[in-house]
Amino acid sequence: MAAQAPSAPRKLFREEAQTGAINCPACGGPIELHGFGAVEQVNCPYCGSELAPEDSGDLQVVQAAQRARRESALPLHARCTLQGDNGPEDYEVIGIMWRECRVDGVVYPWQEFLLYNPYLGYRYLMFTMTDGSWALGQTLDGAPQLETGFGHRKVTFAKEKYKHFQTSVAIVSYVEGEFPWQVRVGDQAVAHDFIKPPISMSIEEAATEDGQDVNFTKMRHIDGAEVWKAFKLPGQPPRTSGVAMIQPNPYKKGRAITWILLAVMLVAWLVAAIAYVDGRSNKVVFSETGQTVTDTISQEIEIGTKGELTTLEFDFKASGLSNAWAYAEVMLISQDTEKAVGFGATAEEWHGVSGGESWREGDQSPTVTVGKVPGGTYLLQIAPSAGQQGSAANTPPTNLRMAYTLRENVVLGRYIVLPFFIILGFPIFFWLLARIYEGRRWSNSDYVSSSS
Amino acid sequence: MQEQPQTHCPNCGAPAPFRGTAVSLVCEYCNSTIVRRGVDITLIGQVSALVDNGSPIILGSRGRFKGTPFEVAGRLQVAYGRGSWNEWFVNFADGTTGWLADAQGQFAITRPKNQQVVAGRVPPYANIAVNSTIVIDGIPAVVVDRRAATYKGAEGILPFEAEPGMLFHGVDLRGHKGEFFSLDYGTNPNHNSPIPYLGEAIKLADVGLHPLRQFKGWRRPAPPAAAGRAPGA
Amino acid sequence: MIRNIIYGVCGFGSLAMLLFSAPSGALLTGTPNTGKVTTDTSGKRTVRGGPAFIWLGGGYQGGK
Repeated sequence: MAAQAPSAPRKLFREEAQTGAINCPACGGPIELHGFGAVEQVNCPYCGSELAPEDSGDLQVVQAAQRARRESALPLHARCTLQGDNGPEDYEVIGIMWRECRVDGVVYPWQEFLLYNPYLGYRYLMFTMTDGSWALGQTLDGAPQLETGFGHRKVTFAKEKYKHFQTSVAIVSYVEGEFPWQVRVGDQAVAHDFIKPPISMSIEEAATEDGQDVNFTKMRHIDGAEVWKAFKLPGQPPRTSGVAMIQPNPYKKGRAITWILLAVMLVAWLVAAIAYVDGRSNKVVFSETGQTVTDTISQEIEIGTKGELTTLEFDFKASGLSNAWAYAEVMLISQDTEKAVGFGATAEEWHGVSGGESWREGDQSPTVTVGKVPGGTYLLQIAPSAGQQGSAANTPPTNLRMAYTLRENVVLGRYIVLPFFIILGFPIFFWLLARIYEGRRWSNSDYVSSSS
Repeated sequence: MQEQPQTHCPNCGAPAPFRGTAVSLVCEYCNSTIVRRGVDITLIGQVSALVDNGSPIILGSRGRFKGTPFEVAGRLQVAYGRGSWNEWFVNFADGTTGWLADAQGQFAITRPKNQQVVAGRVPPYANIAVNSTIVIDGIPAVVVDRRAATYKGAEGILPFEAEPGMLFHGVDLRGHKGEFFSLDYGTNPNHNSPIPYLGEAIKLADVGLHPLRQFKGWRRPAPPAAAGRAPGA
Repeated sequence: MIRNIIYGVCGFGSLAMLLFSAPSGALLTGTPNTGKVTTDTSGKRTVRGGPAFIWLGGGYQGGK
């Protein structure tokens, strides 16, 4: 018995899908429904009752609840604009969930915002309450590969290697809004986090009533400022503290430039050092050996080039010192100006037995270096003195013989060594800073050494 | 699509345009399921009304997958403990058919393959563990979902007789390069030769699917500029 | 960014020191006593047996 065909075919879903507003059947609070038909569960923001949308459009109370509404970092139904691969993408917060995990008795809570676009699907915006960090993620279209073998556990996906950071049980503690699957307070999932800052791979296993499933979510670190800008929110995002799981390491930024600087400066140093040493004449301008304490020197010598400054090195060698000292007072009196340069060198040798141990100290061949000496003619005067320990303080040792050598335009090693330490030291220091930062990151992982 | 002699719904007389090798069709006018066996048209009964589960896809949408144009010809709505999803039956321009899986914002296009491809090489349904890796047709894939589900409703044309309420067991797998595989163990899963559906995960924008459903407060993505050019969002 | 700037400045600065100040030993050397000198011509004979020079204008001059 064929009924008459209606005048126009009734095609389903051609009219625009509508949002809805309904009162919570448990507490009467007003609920806006923005998830269209994709919603499997609604949690009343006010009383927390779990409601299931019926086919008729009504909401059925699945689990009445009495709980206070929690203030989340972002409001329900807030809209944002994110940068996608093909341009800007708009999303709306349609569900909010608080989850937490417990490690060593400490509770670590975080908030998850379910972002929805009917044409683009879902994104997850995660706010870690312990350190104020944000991460944005989406479900993977493929499956990561577990790396086999020994060593730190890793997974690979799309040519990126992620290192295992932690495995924990995530428990739902608060639900608000609409979800395309059923979420209950108390739901548990085993979550494995693998990181490659600033991105991470989260593998979550959950058991459902009629089966099990595993979800792969790729997250990337996002600054609170970027979240605030995407949602066009006033004010400042929540403060951050510590090092978040996938927070980018600021001491690893600019590494390439550091390497370039290191290479360039190292080559420049080598060239400059060779040129410098090559250009030092190290010429002996005065030398005398076998001097006793009664011999004084007074001699005219030429130093350097007139009009130029140069360096001088005075080597003072004393032999025959035993618990005694020798001092050479050197004076260079310029014959051109009346200015003079004076310095002294002390040679000494002390030894003894103290508490059963014998000791010895003292430099018997000191060297004194002097700089900025104007070139010209000088009168060199050396006046030695010597003494011994104790009561013979003013008596010079009998076998004392001294040698004096004065050199000009010498190589000053310190000028070569200082740049070398700077050129190598800074990169090492930066590397240390980066390592310490990573240490702080990994102190929150499953791999903390028990000695901390 | 080849022209076929016009068939009519035995219940209400409206045109029932079977296409290609389609076996069953849900009458757009009276929601009756009509089944074609050879040249015989049989009325199965009224299928339960489809539920709006927020899918952006509608019957008649067209797209292009790996260079081959396709049209969305039918839909099967499947329910399981956590919710429901859609399997869209698509007809390709080269005469072949496939399925567009549509679940919670994720999509995939698969084609049915001969059971011989996996027979004996996959475990029985009960022995399949989620997060384990199984090699399907030479490609290693991770089991991401394993559940029993029931047919809830249908629209358009389908390649088999879909009885609402029928329970079937399925396993979904994902490969490391975006492959998507579905193994259909049917109503009685104590065997190891499921029907394999092999394909890959897709984004709607990548196949240029349009027209898409309209949602209040949301701007529909622009249709692809022209055939042959890469579709934009 | 700023880290690399400081690194570059210190590195090239120390190299500039090597190039320009090392030959004269202007920096990084101890400052000896310098100053004008007058002669003590009182006829005093010293142990040294030569003219005695006395410092005037004491303290450190020149150097840094």
